Amino acid sequence: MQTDSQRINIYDCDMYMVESADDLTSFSCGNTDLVEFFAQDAYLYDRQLLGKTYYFETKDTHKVIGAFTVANDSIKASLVSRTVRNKLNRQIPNSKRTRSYPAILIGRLGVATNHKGGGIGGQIVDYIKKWFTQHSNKSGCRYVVVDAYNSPDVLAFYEKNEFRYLYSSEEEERATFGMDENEHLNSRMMYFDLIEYTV
Amino acid sequence: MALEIRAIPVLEGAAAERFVREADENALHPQRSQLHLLTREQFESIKLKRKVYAD
Repeated sequence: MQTDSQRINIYDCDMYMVESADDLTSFSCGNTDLVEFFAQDAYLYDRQLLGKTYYFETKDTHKVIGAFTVANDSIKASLVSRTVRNKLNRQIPNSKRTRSYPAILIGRLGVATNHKGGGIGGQIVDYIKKWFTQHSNKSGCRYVVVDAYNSPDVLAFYEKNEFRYLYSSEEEERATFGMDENEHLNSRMMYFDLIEYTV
Repeated sequence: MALEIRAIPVLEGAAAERFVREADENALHPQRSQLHLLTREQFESIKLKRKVYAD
């Protein structure tokens, strides 16, 4: 639903980090939770070192066209079931029990309502992938992970951007979180392997 | 505050085995992503700036 006459790309914009409580108060991306987060919580998350929020602003009109929040995370995989682990805990080296992969979590991502459908969201995801695979990145980061809203358009967006599901089905994800089988799953966890960007 | 950012839980069972198998396979034989929406030049042209706030 891009209504602006000229297509805008994120590389035509200036990029800023949220440093003031007022930075994103006028940013509208059409989702109540996202609007509330960017307007009220992004700055608090930054102050508490829980997440850093960045945004792209047009150079001439100073309108925010997209914003995202990232935080350090990891994907841990336990290769020994809890029951067996409890019985044999001291006999299995930790490296064989659990694998841990560093990751960057996209905590929030929003595109301005009047720029939706213009490719901004995909460009932001691509920017994050490139950002965390460049040589100057200060720490290892193997995956990009996201807890995506469980709606067809959002899931299709991340699938199109080559993300895969951490759990193969909603049933498997529900079971992991101890949810009833009829309970609605609000989000799906997805990941992208950055090694595909470094080869 | 809005919904908290949900962290990734520890994978177990089939999900853990599937994930580690794929991670190992990708490390040995990485598939090059064909989806690049920004060229290197476009990416490098994006500079992180700082706002100047009045005192």
